[in-house]
Amino acid sequence: MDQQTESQTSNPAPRPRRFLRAADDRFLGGVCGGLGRYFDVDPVLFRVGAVALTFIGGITLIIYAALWALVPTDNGSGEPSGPSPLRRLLGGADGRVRAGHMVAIAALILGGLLTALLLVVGAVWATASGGGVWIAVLVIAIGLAAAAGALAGRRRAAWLLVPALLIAAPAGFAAAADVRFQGGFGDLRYRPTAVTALPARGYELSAGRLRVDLRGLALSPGTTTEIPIQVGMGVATVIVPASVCVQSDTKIGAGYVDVLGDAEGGLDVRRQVGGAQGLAPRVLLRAKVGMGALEVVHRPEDSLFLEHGHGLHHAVAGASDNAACSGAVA
Amino acid sequence: MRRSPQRPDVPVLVGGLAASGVGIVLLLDRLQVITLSFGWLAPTLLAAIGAYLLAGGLAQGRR
Repeated sequence: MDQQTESQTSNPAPRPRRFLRAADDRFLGGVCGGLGRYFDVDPVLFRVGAVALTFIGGITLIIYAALWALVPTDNGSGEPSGPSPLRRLLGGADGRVRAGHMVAIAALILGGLLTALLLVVGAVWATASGGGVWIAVLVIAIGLAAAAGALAGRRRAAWLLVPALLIAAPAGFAAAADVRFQGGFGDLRYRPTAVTALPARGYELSAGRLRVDLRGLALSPGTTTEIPIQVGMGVATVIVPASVCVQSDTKIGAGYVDVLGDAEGGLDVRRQVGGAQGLAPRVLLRAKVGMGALEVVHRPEDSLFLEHGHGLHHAVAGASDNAACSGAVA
Repeated sequence: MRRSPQRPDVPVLVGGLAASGVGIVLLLDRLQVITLSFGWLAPTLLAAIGAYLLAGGLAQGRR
């Protein structure tokens, strides 16, 4: 009997017949540890997958929270040590659901999701509005608080890493894309008719749509008119007549640029369109877009983003419509 | 087996320090000491998360 007992204790924990959260193999709530034990694979695979999927769409966070709330912890022998956190929250230690606690749990879940959303949006907003230093200091402070808690052996200090990630990742995205909230929000439309009517700082959009129609702008032959454009998050469409040579220097954090068919998309995009021959009037666009797109077209119906636009110039694959720069258009 | 309350939690310690490191990178960018791009951001975040996972794996291996 003693020998049997000894052999049982020296063997690894048996694979549980039902999915339970791991009590001893856990980073946060033991969900990945439990999945690894249930499927008999290394839980690191689930952890790496969960982190990767969090960056793709964030659905992992919801799934993890749901599994944490619904699945009880393993007591070490493949049996639950008690009711799940959700049942415990709804009815106490006996696990019996009490209707009175339903509102509380619903409010808790809603509050958690709302808090996460506020952290993400707030981090982007503050970074884009010039408060990035304070966001960075906040991330440093939360990280140090987690480290201090860990030194004191407080297991719950791990939860501080969640808001740190929820703030640092979107703030880092906004910083890397150089998103700046300058100018207005919404649907902004401009149609200047004289060079003197152009704003000194150029056209600025914080978030939304910007449409600058230069078809009525009087330009002298052989002159270059510089127009800065700044977009935080959104789409800017510039409409120029075919008789104008367009030169551009565009920086896009994350998105797409299309200057009369000269297109490029992705992250950290820097695109320059230049070269001018002949006496056609020139427009030099200096554009910065954080997240979004910039397009330059001859007609609104050529646009990919305006209403009733069809992106017609894309029909000529690889061809640029910037013919005035070569002196082809009088 | 219950962890001693005085014993440091190494994975969280590494995770906290890694989060602080990411915060310092953000701070340096905002102070215009460095220019953060996606080419730097993704490795920085993944290195921080990787350090946390690595510390956790090593800590569990010792138990």
